[in-house]
Amino acid sequence: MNSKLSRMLSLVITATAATIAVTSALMYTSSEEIFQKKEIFYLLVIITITVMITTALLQIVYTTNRNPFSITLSLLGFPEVGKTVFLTMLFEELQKMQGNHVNFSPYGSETIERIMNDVSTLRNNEWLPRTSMNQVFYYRAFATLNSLPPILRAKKKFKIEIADYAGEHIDQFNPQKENWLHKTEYFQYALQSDAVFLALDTDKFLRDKEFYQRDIDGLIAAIQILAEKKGAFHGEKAEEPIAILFLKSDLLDGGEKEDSVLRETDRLISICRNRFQSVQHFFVSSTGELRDGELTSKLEPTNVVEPLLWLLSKSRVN
Amino acid sequence: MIDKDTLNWVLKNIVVPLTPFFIGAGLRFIYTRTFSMELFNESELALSMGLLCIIMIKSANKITDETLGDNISYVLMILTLCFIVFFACSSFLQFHIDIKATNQINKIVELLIQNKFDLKVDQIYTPQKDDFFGMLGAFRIGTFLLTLITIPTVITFKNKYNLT
Repeated sequence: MNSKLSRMLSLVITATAATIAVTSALMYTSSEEIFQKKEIFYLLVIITITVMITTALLQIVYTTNRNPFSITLSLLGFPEVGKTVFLTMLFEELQKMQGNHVNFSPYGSETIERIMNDVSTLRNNEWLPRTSMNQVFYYRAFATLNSLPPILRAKKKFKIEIADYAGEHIDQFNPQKENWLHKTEYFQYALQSDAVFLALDTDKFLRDKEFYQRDIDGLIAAIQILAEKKGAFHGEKAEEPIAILFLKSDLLDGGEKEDSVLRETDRLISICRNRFQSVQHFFVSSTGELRDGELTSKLEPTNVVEPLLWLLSKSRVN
Repeated sequence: MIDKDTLNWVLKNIVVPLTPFFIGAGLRFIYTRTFSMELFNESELALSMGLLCIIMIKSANKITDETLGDNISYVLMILTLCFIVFFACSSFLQFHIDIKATNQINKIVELLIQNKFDLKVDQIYTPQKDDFFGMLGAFRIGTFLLTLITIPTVITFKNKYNLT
C-alpha cells in the first residue's frame, strides 16, 4: 500500500476511534436517565480503545519495516582536499558494484540527479565547483548486506547517509580559530555520526609539507574533540571506526612516497589509534591518473569503495 | 545491553517527561503509606506519555532525511492523539465519579443533620461498584498497554534512526 495512503488511513481511523471513545464516555455518563441500555456505550469504548491501540501498533510495524537502519557517516577534511569528488565517485562506483556480500542503490531523486550531473561534469574534463560555506548536500543510499549463507536468505537492510559540507567548517574543531566549538549543524552531525572519514590531500604533502602538517594538526584537534564528545575517557576508546583517506594518491606513484606520507602522518594515526577502537588508512584516487594535471573523459577511480566497506564492517551494522 | 549513550538519552527523553506520573504516585504513597497499583494514575501517565511523544516529534523533525522524519512524526502523532484522548476520557470519568461520591456524602450529611439517616450499606455509593469504574478500568488498561508499546518503540527509533 502507498505510504501516504496508509498514513492517512491510520490517522483517520485513530481520529474516528478517538471521537467515538470521547462521545461514548460522555453518553455513558449522561445516559443514566435517558437510556436503558448503557452497555452499548461501554462496548463501544472497549472497541474503540482496541482499534486505536491496534492502528498505532500496525503503523509502528509498518514504519519500522519500511525504513531500514540509518548509518550516518561524516567526512572531515580541509577545503579543496577533494571530498566532493570522492563522494561523487564513491556513489558512482557503488551503483556499479555487483558483489555477493553488499548491494547498494542510491536513495532519493536528489542523490541520483546530483551524482549524474557531477559525473558528467568530471567526464567533460571539468572539476566540480567548490562547496560553499552555506551549502550542504546529503548523499544517501540503500544497502543490503547478505550476512548469512544464501540458503537462509537473510538480508540486513540499512540506509547510508554522508553529508558533504564545505571544508571551512572544520575550524569548529580547531581551538586556534574564532568559530571553535560553535555548535552548528555540521558540528552536531560530526558528533552524531556512526563512522568518520578523515580526508587528507597528498598533493599538499608533495607541494608544501608545512601546510600538510597544519592540516594534520587541524584533524588531530577534531579527532580529540570527537573522541571526548563520544565518551572516550580514562583510556577507553570510542567505538566509532575511523578511515583515514589519502586522497589524490595517483600523484604518489606508490611505494616510497606512500611510506613517506605515512611517516609524516604518523602522529595523526597514533592519536586516532589511542582514542578509537578501529582505525585504518586508505590510499584513494577518486579520478584515476590525470593527463598533465587535467581530467580525462575516462575516469578510473581506485580504492574508492574499500574505505566505506571497511567502515561498514566495523560499524554497528555488523 | 543498553550503552551509556542510550541510557543518558532514556533519562533525558523518557524519564523527564514521565516525572508528573512518578511525582503523583510518590505523593500518593507518602499520603497512604501503602504500596498498590492504585498509586499509579492512568490520566497522569497518559498526559506524561503525550508529552513524551510531542518531544519525540520535535526530535524526528530534526532528522536530515525529511521522508524518514515525516514517517516517524506520523507514528508519534497517532500515539499522541491516543494518549490525549485517553487522558481526556479518564480525567472526565474520574471527575464524574468524584462528583457522584461528593453528592452522596452531601446527601448523607444532610440526612444525618436531620437525623433521618437509615441508608443500608448496599445503598451507599462506592466508586468501585460503579459502572463508570469499569469504563475507567478500560482506559487504565489501554493507557498502560499503549505505554508498554510506546517506550520500546521510541528507544528503537532512537537507535535505528539516530534521533537526537
